[in-house]
Amino acid sequence: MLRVKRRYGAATSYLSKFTLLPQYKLKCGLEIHTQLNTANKLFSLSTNDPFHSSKSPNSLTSHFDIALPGTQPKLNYEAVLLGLKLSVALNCKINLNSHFDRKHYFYGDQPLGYQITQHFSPFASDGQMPLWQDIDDIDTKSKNINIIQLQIEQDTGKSLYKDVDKITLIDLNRSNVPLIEMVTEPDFSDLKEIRAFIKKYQNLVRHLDISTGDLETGAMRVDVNMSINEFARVELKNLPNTSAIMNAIKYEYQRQVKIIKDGGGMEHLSSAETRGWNGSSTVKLRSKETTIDYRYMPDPELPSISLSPDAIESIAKRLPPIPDEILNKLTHEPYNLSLKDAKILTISSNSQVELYTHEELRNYYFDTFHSYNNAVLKEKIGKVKPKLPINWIVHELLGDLNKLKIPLLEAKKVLTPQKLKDFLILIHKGDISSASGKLLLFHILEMIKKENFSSEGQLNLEKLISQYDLATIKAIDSNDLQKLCQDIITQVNDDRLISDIASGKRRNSLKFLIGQGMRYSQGRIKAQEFDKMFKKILNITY
Amino acid sequence: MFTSRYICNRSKYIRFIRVVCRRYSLKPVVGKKFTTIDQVKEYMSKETWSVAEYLDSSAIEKDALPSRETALRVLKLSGLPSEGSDIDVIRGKLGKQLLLINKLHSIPLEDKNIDAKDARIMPRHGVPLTYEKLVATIESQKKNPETGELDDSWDSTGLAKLKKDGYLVVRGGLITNRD
Repeated sequence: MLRVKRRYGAATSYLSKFTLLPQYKLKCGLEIHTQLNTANKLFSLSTNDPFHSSKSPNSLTSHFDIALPGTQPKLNYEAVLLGLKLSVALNCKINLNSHFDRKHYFYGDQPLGYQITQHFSPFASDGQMPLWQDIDDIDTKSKNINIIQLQIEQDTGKSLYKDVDKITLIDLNRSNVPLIEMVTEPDFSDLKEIRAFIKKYQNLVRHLDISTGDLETGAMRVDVNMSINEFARVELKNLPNTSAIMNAIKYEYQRQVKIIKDGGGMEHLSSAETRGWNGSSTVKLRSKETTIDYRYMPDPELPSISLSPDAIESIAKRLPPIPDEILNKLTHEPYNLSLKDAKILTISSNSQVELYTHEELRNYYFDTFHSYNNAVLKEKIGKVKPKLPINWIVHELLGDLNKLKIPLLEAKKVLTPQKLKDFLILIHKGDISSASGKLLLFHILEMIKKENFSSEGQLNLEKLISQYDLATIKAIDSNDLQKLCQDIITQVNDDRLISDIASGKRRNSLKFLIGQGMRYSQGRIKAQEFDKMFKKILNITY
Repeated sequence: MFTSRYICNRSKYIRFIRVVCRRYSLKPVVGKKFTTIDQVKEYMSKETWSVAEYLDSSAIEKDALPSRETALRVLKLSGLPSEGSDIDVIRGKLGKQLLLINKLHSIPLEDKNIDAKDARIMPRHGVPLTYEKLVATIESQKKNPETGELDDSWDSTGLAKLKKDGYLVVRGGLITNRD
């Protein structure tokens, strides 16, 4: 056990010390397969739910999906619609007359004996995805990644290898699920760019509601083509997640650099090969000698996908703004969000899917922001505080929703953007303090959950504030406040600290006293009032 | 004179061709493409060529027949029984099929730049989809119960000899790495 641990530790430290060497230029391209979120499969209308399999394998299979003799493929045009959306978003040239081809190879989870793909005339080509230093965390100011092509194709079934019994279990629920294969030019020269691209592409397919984009489930699968100093290309496969992708590239880079340094480049790196990743090293799967001849041929059973230019224009008009445009909008007037907050409203990651989508959250923010802005201007209650809506939505509301496990969709039926605006106006005017606001917001959400999200139209903020005595005390009795502050000083029971605060030696500790005051008053007395009173009692002049 | 049409796979493309040959031993010629479905129907209604002419058994002897092992492997891959089969007869049939395929491969094509999209019996004249038509097509798509498209509507493993917990079973010998 100890030995295993030590070896594992050595392997990871080897990778963590990784650096690209300037004399050994890395060149990478990516091939990404993405399962499409269509209701049905690609060449039949059986249900597309590849993750259904663990419960009931082979239950979502039509006669065609299991390749019964005499069955024929029939194109599901949902895949065409999603393919068009992705192609337009990636600025591709869309092929107005693409068609399907057969790629032949035998495998247990592919009962047809061939995969239907688009080899000769793919769906779209010549696209781009720009990466930016500030948004995507790359080292250069910007980098354009060129996309060679997008092709629509079918997925295979799933094999479960039972080595002990020497059998393979086959589930064909995934058979014929629609995929888009996207191939980039070998434009990557740095690991940060690869990571950024994968993340950005993943977010794009989620943003366009084309796919879940999850690497872990296999809904998105990434293969890497890499070469060093113009030696032959090595394709890396079986990379289940981002860290596997990064580690496999690092390992392979170091392996090839060593071969080149040892003078073995011409001998070992002159012909292309395919390698897999076993968790700690890359292993050879196939070389030039064992390359499969797929015997591609046009599928005679499927018509071409013939599109009118109007279809592309219409998709372009209907496409939502892409994430980069949204980030740009959010970080400029009138929103002026930090990039971090803007990303929270824009970038999709797995964990949040259950409670809210980014589109829902963003629209909730926009509605609240504009509602709040208009109210401040209309009621003439001072300057708009542009950060107020985002701070309360991202830093308080989301935290509460996560804590209480409430979907935003349910919460906003009661806490509508207009209601949240009313709440923000109370904060804006100082009718309730931030501390009271936090308590109130949590209470409202808790109440919504308890009442099973049925309090629509019932939310009365004034009533709740009065009920729980949360209103800011505006007319403070000076004697009461002085007594409260003196009690706090007494309770602190640290003469040296108090003396240092008074002399200015420990100015910041005044905030500690104010904090105590806020706690005792449950935020109902403003911090400024405590500040004034403590300064008066302690004769502070700074 | 014999005329026929076949799919011919030539490295990067496949197309339908009209093969014209006087005798098996003579060089076949690619004829003109069909342009209407009536031409296809008329052509298919007439017997214009004989398989025997293409599969002259005297020619086969010149080429080595597939080995016994190859024949057995092809039977296994095809799911056909080998027990009780006359393997030599099957070797002979496979030899004839290979001869035909080789013959087709040897047909010279004048146009080397044929688009794979034209690998059809007749040219395609599909109506390009507009956005509205695309959306309408999607909305009109309905699951067909007769082809097993409804969830759990039939037992897709029902005809399998080997199955386990709802899975189909492939016995050992399957390559464990597709890549």
